[in-house]
Amino acid sequence: MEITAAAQPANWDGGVSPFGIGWSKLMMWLFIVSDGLVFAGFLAIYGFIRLASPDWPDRSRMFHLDFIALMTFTLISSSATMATAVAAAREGNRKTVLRFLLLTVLGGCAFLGMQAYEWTGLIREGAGLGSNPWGAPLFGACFFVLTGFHGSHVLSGVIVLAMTAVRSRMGMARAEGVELAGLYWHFVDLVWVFIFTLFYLI
Amino acid sequence: MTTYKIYWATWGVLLLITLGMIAAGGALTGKLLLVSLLLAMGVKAALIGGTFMHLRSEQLSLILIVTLGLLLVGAILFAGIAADAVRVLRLSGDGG
Repeated sequence: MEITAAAQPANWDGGVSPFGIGWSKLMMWLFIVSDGLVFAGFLAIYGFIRLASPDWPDRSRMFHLDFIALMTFTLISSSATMATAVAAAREGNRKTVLRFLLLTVLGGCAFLGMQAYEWTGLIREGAGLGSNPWGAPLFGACFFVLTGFHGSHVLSGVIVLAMTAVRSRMGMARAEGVELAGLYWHFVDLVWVFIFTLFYLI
Repeated sequence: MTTYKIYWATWGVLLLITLGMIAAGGALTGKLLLVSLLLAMGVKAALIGGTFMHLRSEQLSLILIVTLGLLLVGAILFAGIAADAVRVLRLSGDGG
């Protein structure tokens, strides 16, 4: 008996891109969505705790907004350098790719250094996972878990970008590899936009 | 070099919005501040996703999966949690 369906192309046979992009890029997007959902969960928990805490501390007593603005400036700038590196990779301009990848790594390291400085200051003043000298004790848990989780993403991004830079220097990095690293880095910047607004400004 | 210009123009706009948000924090209060900051946050997220992550040049199916999935879950989480948190605050007797 002849199977007529076998003659027709099927989505499950491979070679079909339902979203018009390669599988590696699609997997990166799916990872970004799932990671974004984890951050959404953390932000929702933070929102619940904050709304349910009558003695939530005043942000101006704990944070130096000028310093946080500098952190934000650093991360946004590193996103722009990353986008430039991705565009250069598409054009096959290896020198520019390497230069802007290194600038992005530098921006990521600077951000991590500033975050370590901010954490140290708060810990010295008595803030911790279960303690907060300015009011609601759960503030510390929210702050350190949320910014710590984001910081771990920045650290992973710096490692991935450093590896991509080394591969680019050796002529082994493909344009798509640089683009995938870039997608992850922009996601890290995107999450900071939410943390900066919801935690430091509101 | 012209392809890079769009990224640096976006960078400039993102910085201006960030400065505007910080200024709004000192000048506005209450619901006006909240709405302004949330709107600015949305514009910044759209700029990063659309321009830096090139989402605006992808297929509509991918754009919908990425944005709608996150927005819907975010909305459901907020709708479910915000009301409950306000109830907890009222039960504690401090929220009126």
